Amino acid sequence: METSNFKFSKEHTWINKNTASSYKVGISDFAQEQLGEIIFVELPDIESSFEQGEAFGVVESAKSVSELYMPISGTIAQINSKIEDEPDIINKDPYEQGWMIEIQTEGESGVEQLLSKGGYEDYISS
Amino acid sequence: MKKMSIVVIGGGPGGYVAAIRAASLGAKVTLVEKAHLGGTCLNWGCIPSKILKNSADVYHRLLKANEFGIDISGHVAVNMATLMERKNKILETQRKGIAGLLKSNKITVETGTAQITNPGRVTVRKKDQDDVDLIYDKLIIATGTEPLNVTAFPFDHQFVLSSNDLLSLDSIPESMVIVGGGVIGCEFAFIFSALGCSVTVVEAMSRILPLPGVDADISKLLQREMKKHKINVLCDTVVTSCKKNANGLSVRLDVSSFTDNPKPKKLKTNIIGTQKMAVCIGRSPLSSDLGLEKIDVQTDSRGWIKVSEKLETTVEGVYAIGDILGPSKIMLAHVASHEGIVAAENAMGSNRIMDYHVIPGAIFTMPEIGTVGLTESEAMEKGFNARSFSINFRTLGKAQAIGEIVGLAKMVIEKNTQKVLGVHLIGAHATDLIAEAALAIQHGMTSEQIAHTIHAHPTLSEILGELALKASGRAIHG
Repeated sequence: METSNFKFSKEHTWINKNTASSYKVGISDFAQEQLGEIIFVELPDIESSFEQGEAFGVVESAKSVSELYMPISGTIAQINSKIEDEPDIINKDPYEQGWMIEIQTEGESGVEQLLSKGGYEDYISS
Repeated sequence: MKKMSIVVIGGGPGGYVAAIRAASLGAKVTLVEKAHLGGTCLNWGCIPSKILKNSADVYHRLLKANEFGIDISGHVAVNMATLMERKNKILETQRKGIAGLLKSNKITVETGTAQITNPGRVTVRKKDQDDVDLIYDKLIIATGTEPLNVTAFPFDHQFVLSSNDLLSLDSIPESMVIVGGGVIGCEFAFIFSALGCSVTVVEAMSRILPLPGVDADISKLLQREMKKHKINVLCDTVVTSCKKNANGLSVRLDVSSFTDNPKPKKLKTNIIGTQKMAVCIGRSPLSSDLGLEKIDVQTDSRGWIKVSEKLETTVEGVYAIGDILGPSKIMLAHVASHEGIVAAENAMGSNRIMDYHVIPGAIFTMPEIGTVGLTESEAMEKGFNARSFSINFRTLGKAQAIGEIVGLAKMVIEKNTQKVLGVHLIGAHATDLIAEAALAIQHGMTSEQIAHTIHAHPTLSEILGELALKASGRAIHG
């Protein structure tokens, strides 16, 4: 999956523009590697709204439990039910099949505060 | 010298313990029980629900046996007839055990319904025999409670079930709505879901286990586990009515007006179809036919008996213990037993005050929950300068080895002194592990003292050692 247009948060989530006002969201390859085999992911209800930085879900691996934080503000338009049944899809393909939620934005969402792919790579190697 | 004559009404964990303690102090004791010795705890609560839970745990584990390198050829199935037979056998053994204890303490047991007829006199109404009159110097009332029956959807014991009914089912329903996401509702939700029932829990407040003593993170984790177990949870929701249909019941829901959630979730549907509905939203006092008014023992408007800190009612020499004291006290079997000891000692001339400061709670969900002391928010409300520390159970080698990695341990300490104010566990064997924390809080220990105590490896008890290390600034694994 071509990720050069993705934006990233310091909490290791990525966003990829889907439509004019919606973005798909997932966790980065670095995050899935740190977590190890993912055994459970808890996703929010469709139509629930969260602010940027707010926890929207949880991802569990054999060694850790980590909250997932909204990279931008918005309303949950869709969730990827497939990863609820097969969470290891996130490990195998974090940037495409392993997408987690689709966020519908309205007005200020905080997109401009996110890092570019290069900026994120510098962040995780620092 | 004439022996003090004490009558105890009720043979549950409060009553029979009070009777034994009073007899050991030299009283002549008569215990009156209208049904079975052991009360709600043995017959309709703690013990039978744990027997069911154990079978649910075994079944749940067997379905995942191949993960542990065990291949099962053939069909693994729940046999309710065998399960209930085992339950009944254990209960009968336990009842005989209590009867044996009472006999060896020379306590007379009268089977029948007790009624206070005059000051100093209790009449025992028997089924096929003459009434028996008992004269008492002191009286200890331990009559307990029964499941709360809701007028809008009363128990019919066929479709609308009480917790008592759930313990005697002859088959696992295909589907069940459980009204009430408190301790009993959550325990039964996991048991019946594990045994193959499709369960929906309806809870009026914003979280399951909406109790002040249950930490919000514990509720959150448990709700996540309910999702994993495919238990449907509807918070901020109430059942308003139900009516029979061809497949069982049609249950009507509405947004709860009791919820503490300023933005309650919208309901996706107002009607659920279900085969059975279990109502687990509380208990009612068994005090209305006792004759309390004959001796002016006061109750509140709901029938809960009022007592002093020495467990004496508004009438001198008349004590009350256990669940009949209601939700202003703590309605747990182990509390009833300790109240029984205090009341018996006071009836025999002592001056003890019942101490409610350190009461462990044990919730038999999947995973279990053990709590003792204050949550962080309770500690702050009481003016403590409190801080909390958490560790995941999955950091423990033993948890990984037994394949039970889900869980969280939380310790609340007073910042300046490091004194442990509360411990909250959700994880494997949490109900047993909490005993160490109760002992620590009872004796005013600090997190440092627990950290310096060596915990055996590899055991789940290390969770408290690791937690204490973290709380005292020396975290190793957490």
